[in-house]
Amino acid sequence: MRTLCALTLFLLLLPSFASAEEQPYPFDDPYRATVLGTPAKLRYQFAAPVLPDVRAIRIEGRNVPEVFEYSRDMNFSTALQDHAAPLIFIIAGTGAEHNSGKMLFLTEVFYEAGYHVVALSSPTHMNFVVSASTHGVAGYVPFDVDDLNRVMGWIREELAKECEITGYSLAGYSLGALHAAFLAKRDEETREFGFRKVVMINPPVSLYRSVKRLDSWLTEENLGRTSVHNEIAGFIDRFSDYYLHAEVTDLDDDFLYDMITDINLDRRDFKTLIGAAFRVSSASMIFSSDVCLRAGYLVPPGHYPLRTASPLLGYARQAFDISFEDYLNEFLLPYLRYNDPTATRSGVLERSSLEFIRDWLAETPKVVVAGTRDDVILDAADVRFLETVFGERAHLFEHGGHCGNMMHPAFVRTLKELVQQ
Amino acid sequence: MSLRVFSLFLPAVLVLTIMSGCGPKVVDVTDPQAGLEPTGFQTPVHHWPEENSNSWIFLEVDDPWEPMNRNLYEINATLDKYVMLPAATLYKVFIPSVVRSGVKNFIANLNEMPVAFNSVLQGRMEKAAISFSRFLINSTFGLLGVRDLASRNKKLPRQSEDFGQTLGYWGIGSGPYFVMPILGPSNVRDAAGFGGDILILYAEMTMVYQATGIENNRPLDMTDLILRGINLRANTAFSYHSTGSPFEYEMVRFIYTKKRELDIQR
Repeated sequence: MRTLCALTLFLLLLPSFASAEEQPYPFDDPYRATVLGTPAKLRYQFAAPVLPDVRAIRIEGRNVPEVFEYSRDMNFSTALQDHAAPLIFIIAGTGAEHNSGKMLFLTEVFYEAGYHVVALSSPTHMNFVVSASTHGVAGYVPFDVDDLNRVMGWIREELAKECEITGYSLAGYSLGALHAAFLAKRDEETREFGFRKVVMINPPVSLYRSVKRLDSWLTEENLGRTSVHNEIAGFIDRFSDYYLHAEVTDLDDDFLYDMITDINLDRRDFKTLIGAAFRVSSASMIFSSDVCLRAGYLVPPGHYPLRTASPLLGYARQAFDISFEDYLNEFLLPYLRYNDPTATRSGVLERSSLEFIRDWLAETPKVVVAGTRDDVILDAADVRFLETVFGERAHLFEHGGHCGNMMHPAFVRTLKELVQQ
Repeated sequence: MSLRVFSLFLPAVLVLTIMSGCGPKVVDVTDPQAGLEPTGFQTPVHHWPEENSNSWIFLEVDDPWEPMNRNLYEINATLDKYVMLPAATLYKVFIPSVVRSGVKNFIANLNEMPVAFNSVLQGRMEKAAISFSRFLINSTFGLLGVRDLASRNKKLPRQSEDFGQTLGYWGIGSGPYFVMPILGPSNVRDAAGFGGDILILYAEMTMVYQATGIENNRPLDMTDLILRGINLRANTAFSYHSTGSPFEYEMVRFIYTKKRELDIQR
């Protein structure tokens, strides 16, 4: 009888064990992983989901162009514990906002790990450029880090009025991870925050090398003879055709996921999509900077002032055709030289690379890396750099592309362990 | 929660939202360095827009009233930020999800009739039959539409047809792009079609009131309108200026136009 009971119990428990067993991350192609991320069914589930508050900072007297009036305030989000806790700032990747899907997810991860969480948009996001950037020019890491640091100071002051903060930590993904490293280095000198833990999630090693890779997927190297315009028009036709024959009423994430998996995109297609997504972000950033500075890059002087009612498609078309390399040579470097005539190209690139603070990174135990060995924004030398400099502090998964496995339970567990140690 | 309580609760939520001037909490800071004062810097190279350029031609949409439309887009964005979105958030926070999904199903069920009617007008009898079957199943076994039992049958997926699509089906062109106050992206044909759908719904509701013997239907109409608004906002993922792109108006215009084109073909 006892055996029978034990057997019944075993059989009853079996299905729950079977379903609780974690499935490995499904994509071993890094480009596919980067575009598709972690399928909803395989994502880490939070015990008590939290709804972050959206807040804003307004710099008094700032000259915000009318066409960007809607972006006057710098938005950020918070998820605060109802007890004393350490606070972690999270910094978004290129062109991403404080409450994008990845940022909301990371907010939940660190909230669940016991932190008050503050999520910040990337300094390359147009809202940050328009509402908070000192220079109005994004993409130069030292400037962006100064801006982030200043904004974090204001937020700390504000939050200290409503919750007890027992210490500070820092995390960022992609370009935000690179910012986090430089913020930590700066903090080592100023002791303003005294960061305890700094987590870099899928960082580039050199911003320039990574964006060159992304740019290359929209050039002949990847596309062959077709132009990027034709390629994107082709995608729209393929997506349209799929939509015409699909049994759907909601264009939600599930539909987009099914569409991309069903229409058999190949590696070149995935590269094009990643490159195009980056280009959309950088086009937004470049146009915002140009309008804020009236630098005459995309908007001729005679077109000013741009109003809420002004048509912008002509500028969008131009902006989408500008590579980061062009922006660097034609806008960013001339601006930096305008500010400081001694600025050199190599110096500027060096200051936007982890190699610049290599010695410090190698020594400081508080800075750690969580990433993937097949990250599409890294080359083999970059991966070696992370492994050599960080040693055991580099937690690199085999597969996941660029932030593709970020929502997979194994990655989340690593993140939580890194901030709880 | 009874309809009567709802009819009191929802306007109260709206009034409270408007009075409190919701939206994100803003903190003012001063920083003399960050005034974005003109620097005089000019780039040595330009990429100025070209007249009659053929690149990205598929992004073009007939939009002769663009300046007015852009202003309307901004007014809608502001209303959304300070009224609709906070009301939808309060609705989500205070009303349990089981009640919200009941409300969503109830409204969707009422919407089956205009869908069926439009399908008939397009001669798509199979679609009409599906929508009508869904209405019958959900109105009876689904407790007046509160439960969406029909969707459990894979052969009865919810259809989407409106009067704008019917007009398009019969060859009426979209006309210029038009941003409707509060409701957002549209075009002349779809805006007219929206008016047609409202009339069909009005007729449907009148029949419902007659059948149930309700004489004073004004408070219920008001509740219906507000509830539809909040339900729609709470179940729409889009939020203004969340794309992080200064070209959001262009993106939304293109996607709306393309999607409507495809919906008519489907």
